[in-house]
Amino acid sequence: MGKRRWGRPLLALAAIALVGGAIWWLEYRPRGEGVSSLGGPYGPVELPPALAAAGLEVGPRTGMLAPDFVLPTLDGGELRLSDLRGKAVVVNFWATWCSPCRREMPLLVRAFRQFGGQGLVVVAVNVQEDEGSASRFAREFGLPFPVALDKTGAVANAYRLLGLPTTFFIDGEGVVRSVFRGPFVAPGQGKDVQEAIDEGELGRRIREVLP
Amino acid sequence: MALPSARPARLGRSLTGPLRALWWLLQGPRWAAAVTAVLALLALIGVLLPQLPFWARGDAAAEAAWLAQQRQRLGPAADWLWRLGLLDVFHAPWFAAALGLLVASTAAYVAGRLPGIWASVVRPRLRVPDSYFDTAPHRLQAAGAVEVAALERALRRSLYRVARFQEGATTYLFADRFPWAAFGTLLGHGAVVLFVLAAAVGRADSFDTAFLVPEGQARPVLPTVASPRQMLVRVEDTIGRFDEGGTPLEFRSQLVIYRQGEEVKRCQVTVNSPCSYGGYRFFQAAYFGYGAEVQVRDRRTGDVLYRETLALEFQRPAPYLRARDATGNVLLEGTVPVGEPVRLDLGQGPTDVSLASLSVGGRSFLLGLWGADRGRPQLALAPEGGGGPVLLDVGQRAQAAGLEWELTRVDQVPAALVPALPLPPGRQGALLLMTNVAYGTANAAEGGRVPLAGRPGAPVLFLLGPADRPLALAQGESAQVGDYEYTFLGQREFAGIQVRRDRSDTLVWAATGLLMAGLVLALWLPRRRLWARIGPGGTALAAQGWPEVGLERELAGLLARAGAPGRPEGGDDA
Repeated sequence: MGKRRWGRPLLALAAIALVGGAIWWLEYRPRGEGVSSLGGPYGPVELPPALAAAGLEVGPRTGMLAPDFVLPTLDGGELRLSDLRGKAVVVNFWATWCSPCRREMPLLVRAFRQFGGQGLVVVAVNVQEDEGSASRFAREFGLPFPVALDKTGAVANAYRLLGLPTTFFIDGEGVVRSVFRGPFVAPGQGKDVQEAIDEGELGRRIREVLP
Repeated sequence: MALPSARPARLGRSLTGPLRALWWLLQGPRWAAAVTAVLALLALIGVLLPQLPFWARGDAAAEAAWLAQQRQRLGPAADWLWRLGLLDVFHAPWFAAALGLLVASTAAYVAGRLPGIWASVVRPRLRVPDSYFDTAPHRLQAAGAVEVAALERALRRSLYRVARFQEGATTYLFADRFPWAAFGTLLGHGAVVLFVLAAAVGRADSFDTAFLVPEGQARPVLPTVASPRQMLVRVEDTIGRFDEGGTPLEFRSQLVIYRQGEEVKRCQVTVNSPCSYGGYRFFQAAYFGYGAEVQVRDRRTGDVLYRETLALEFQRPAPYLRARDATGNVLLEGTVPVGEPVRLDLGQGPTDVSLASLSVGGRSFLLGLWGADRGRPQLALAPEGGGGPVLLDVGQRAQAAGLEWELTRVDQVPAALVPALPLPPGRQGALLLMTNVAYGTANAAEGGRVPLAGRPGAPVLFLLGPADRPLALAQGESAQVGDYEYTFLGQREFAGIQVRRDRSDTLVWAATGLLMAGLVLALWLPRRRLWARIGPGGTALAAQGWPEVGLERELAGLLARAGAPGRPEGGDDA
């Protein structure tokens, strides 16, 4: 009796679950994320306990510890943010379709050349593009720093991006010192790239995180 | 007398007070007819009166401008029609409310009728009182008894299911044909609900966006950064075919769609044949052929400072000049780019003059062009460092600095102002002009060629701003100014891609299917229920069914096929 009573509702629930599961699989399943050397998918990861400073929260805001992530890089390797602890890090989120990102990239290149010797690391995180597009762009603009591929957008979401480009300035302790939403002033007409860095926000913010 | 339905609406009975009254009101056919009539009237008003266009909705300034136009057309009535919402009928809240009432009424009708119809199909009333054979609206009586087996055979041949009951010398039959067709009307009502639901889904959930993508580049579809549903559309190649008069014949593009960094679809789209992925449809909505890919490099470091595909969206006048020396040798022939107009007083009041300088035969000249926007272009040409200016109209010749100058024509060339183009220190303003443009396809054999300016040949890009004189760059050429190297990488085309999603499509198809199925069931497979009493006193038939037309004739035919003697007598309405 009990079996007959619940048989049909259970069958209906199973059918709904099956259809729901199929929709999730088709629409939302993670794609092409690969497996990192940590054994899990590429994307945000827990900060190692040894690097989590007491009293500091992990989050993408000024004064917080920068959320850790592992992403594949264009050169075939992978990059974990927490491995850069001890260095000043500029994490720039960008995409090739984003015109302001294209305009500010030469400034990042020049800034890296200028401050790299002082311990600055620039990580350019490409958001949700294919490797070919990112690679072409990196070649055309001669990017000298690592380009990480956030294909799923999970890291961009962990950093709560509202738009592109967005740049995080992280000090040697792994603390976000400032967040800049939007493009840095490109070397405007009649203005040299070096002047733009020296006089502008980019240079000031980099100096804040340098040791 | 109508036979009461086997299961009256139980839901209505369980309700009390105002809810019960509302339930019966919604179920009532008069109410449904009234709501339908109101909706039909509103729809007619919406068709006859001008309606607020979609591009103005939500934009106060655009709405006001549109309303001002309607005042000219409709007079003072425009304002009260607007206030009543009759100039935006289909988006008025009361139109939505009327649709809601229709859905509620239809749903109540379906819910109210469904249990009764279900019961009458799966548990039909097999026996009726004897009095029903005398009062049924559709009945027939024959004086003599027919052979029961013969009547059963006739019924079965007419696709009836037959049940027989015996009471003494009297035999009762119940026959039922196409019982499931009783659901036909409910399917039709369900279709109405689905149609309205589809409209609501389409309004709430539809997505529509369009963007221009240059060849070789991609654009995101959704506005949200890093959405898990985000897709990128890359235009591998776009082709515009034109006839000799410049009329477009065909636009088509090769697209690659990426999701989460992986290629998920590769397809060709045209205006009428979209490509579908993930519930979205990708169309080619436009084509724009005046694009130029430009790169600026820092010569000291080798770094690329700027690399963009620019849409040359505007058109600027440019004189086509010919200069000959005294021996007749042509020293210059071609389109001469001129800069953005500056306001000068030429003695006839302030005039917008586009200036340029050029070097011919070892001498420098200043040019000024004006009047092109008024259809009467004039060119002033003066040697730098001495010599009075000469004035040229189109087709005229004049001597200046020992050269004969001819203003052959004034072309309109594609142009763009590029505020972000890196310029050497001290310089401001960059203007790009492109001549010898092949509009259509530069990279497809079938592309029509509509040269806009200049001589036949490859496109030439003029950069005004980096130096005193324009930089003229053929495709692939570079020019160095100070620490910068400017390169024209080539003409590029843009595809206008439109992306749409409308999940109401499925509902509309489902509703259409239901409506068709309902109509087929109701009209081609009409349900018939028939009761027969065959006894010593004669044979009586009673029937129910819709449509009712010809029901008595069907009964008479059955009796005749069963061999009933004599002429049967019909019912009240026979």
